[in-house]
Amino acid sequence: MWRRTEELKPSSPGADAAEPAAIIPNFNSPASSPAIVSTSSAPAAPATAVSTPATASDVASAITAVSTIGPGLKIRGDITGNCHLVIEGEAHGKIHLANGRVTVGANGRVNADIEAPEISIEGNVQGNLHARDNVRLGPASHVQGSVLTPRIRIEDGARFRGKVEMTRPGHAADSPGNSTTATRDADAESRKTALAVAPRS
Amino acid sequence: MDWMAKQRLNAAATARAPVKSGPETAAPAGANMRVSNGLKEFLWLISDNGQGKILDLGAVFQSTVMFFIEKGFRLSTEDLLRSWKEFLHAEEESLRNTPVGDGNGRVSQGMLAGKFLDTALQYPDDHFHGVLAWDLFDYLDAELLPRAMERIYTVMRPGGAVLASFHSRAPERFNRYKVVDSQTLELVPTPTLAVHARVFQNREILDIFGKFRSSKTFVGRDQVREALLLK
Repeated sequence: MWRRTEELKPSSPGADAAEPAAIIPNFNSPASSPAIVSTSSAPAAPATAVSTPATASDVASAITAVSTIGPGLKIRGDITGNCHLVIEGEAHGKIHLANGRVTVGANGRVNADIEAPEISIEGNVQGNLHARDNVRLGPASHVQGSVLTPRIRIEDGARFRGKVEMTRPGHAADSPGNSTTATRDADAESRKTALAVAPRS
Repeated sequence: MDWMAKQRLNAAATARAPVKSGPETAAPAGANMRVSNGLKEFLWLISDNGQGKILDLGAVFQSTVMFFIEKGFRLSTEDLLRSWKEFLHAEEESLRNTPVGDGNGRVSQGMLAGKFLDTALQYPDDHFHGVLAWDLFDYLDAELLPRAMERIYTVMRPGGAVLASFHSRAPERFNRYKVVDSQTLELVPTPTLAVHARVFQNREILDIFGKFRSSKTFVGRDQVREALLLK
């Protein structure tokens, strides 16, 4: 978890000018890392900045609000927000969470592109998955579409048809040109890999 | 690059290269492990294509995906056999719900195969450098096999390679295949998805890959033949 801001307050007011301004991480921007996160809910003073690199999962874990599309519920249209989303019903359209985790439950059926820091699939998804941190395909998941993520976990039994493209954590890779293939080494955070084949239809 | 030309180049390079000592870094053999000389040769054949595109026609596994990422390849996966079986099941359900005398009751296997391929294997022409098909072709229905083979041929680039396995006798159980390393596969016992359709003779294997220009087969101790073919 983030450190308390009081621990890092400068001793003299004159030091404020040299400190970086508090910035809420913008994961949509390719130049967003390392992010500087303010831990204060009040208007951020420059001196209260903590220069801790924030990952999408850090932010996702700080979010406590969870919204659920329950079984029997069917939603059409775009869903956006800043919370965790659990889908046990049906969703058609587009899902975009700036900070949070999208979980498609075992009974969930999604016909939509999903964009979120973390995506976990246990049910059925037709659409592209774009995660800034990680994607998990559970053992009963059935995904048809492309996956764009820096990290992927595929459980045995998962069913997947389409492309997977891997990017650097925290980076948006909207175009194929933003990702390239590379070898993977122990420093997984810095790797930049790609594997992709787009179905014709 | 032509297969023979590449072999000649490799032979020359091997003659120049210093002899390496020590054991190879292959995964330890176990009950569910299988040494795949076909995979080793397949990787060698497609190694010229940096960021080459591979199509895996089996079940998706984390280890297989990461193996090809680490090698710099791009991988696409489509579980063709499962898709075919599910398609047949859906068609059967549809027919069962069709009123008698509706005129749509007559469906041939050829029609079904054609309909299935309207949605399966939908990739651009000349797209893939390699195709993996373990335990697939000898499980497919006779009507679908040549049509699927035609489509696979179309989506492969000239010079691309197909690695396929064929059983020399009916297998005792149905397995899916995980790539462990460049010459080792892990067999994953799976509930039977499809009945083994038939045992192909070598000549028949060459016939179904008739359009491909060269081939090589490897026979394992488990009597599974791996066929490697070049477009």
